[in-house]
Amino acid sequence: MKSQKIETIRKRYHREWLLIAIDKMDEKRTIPLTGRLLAHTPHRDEIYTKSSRYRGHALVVYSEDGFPKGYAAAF
Amino acid sequence: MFILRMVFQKVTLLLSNMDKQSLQKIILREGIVSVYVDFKGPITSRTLKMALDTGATYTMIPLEIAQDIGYDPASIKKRSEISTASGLILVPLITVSEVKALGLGLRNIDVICHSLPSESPVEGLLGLNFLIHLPAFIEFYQKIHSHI
Repeated sequence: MKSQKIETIRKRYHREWLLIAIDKMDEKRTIPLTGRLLAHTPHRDEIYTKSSRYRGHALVVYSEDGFPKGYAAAF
Repeated sequence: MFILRMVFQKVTLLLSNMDKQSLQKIILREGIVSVYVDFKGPITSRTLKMALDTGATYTMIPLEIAQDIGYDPASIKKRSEISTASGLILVPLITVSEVKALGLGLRNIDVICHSLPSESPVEGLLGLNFLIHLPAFIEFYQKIHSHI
């Protein structure tokens, strides 16, 4: 599978959890730059199951950066 | 961390120091400040999006991710009590070989194993035990310290 920019992969999915094999990291800023999509699902538990079977360096990330509309975090 | 259903769709903070011209309006569009954090264990590495949390003593990752990188939280005797939406719970406290974020790498960092609510767009919290090593956080703390 072709390596793609992480943000390009994330933009392709709406409210899904993604497992991405990391090909290139910006080590100075600790930002994954490129990778290959291994799995995507709306359910977080399913992405953990897929992640447990992959032994390489991977990114586990949600496709969105923010909360759903109308939600917020409190500590 | 609690996930709240908000009445309003945008959270607006007004920072005022009594000077009208210096009023700054900040719209927290995403509702969270998140960064990539890399965790290296005895088996492999995982990179996660985490919330910067100056209110958390420890950094926190899901139990499943701790297992992926090579730890067995169930067998760890070291535990920490944390306050959650459902009350106080005891959670495993593991020591991760290497944690990297914002260009800073630290070895042997204590990390709590616990999942955030499923509505959360991030998988964990980057807490004070990491942030206190960041030059930007040290500067931030020194600037607010005189007001504490």
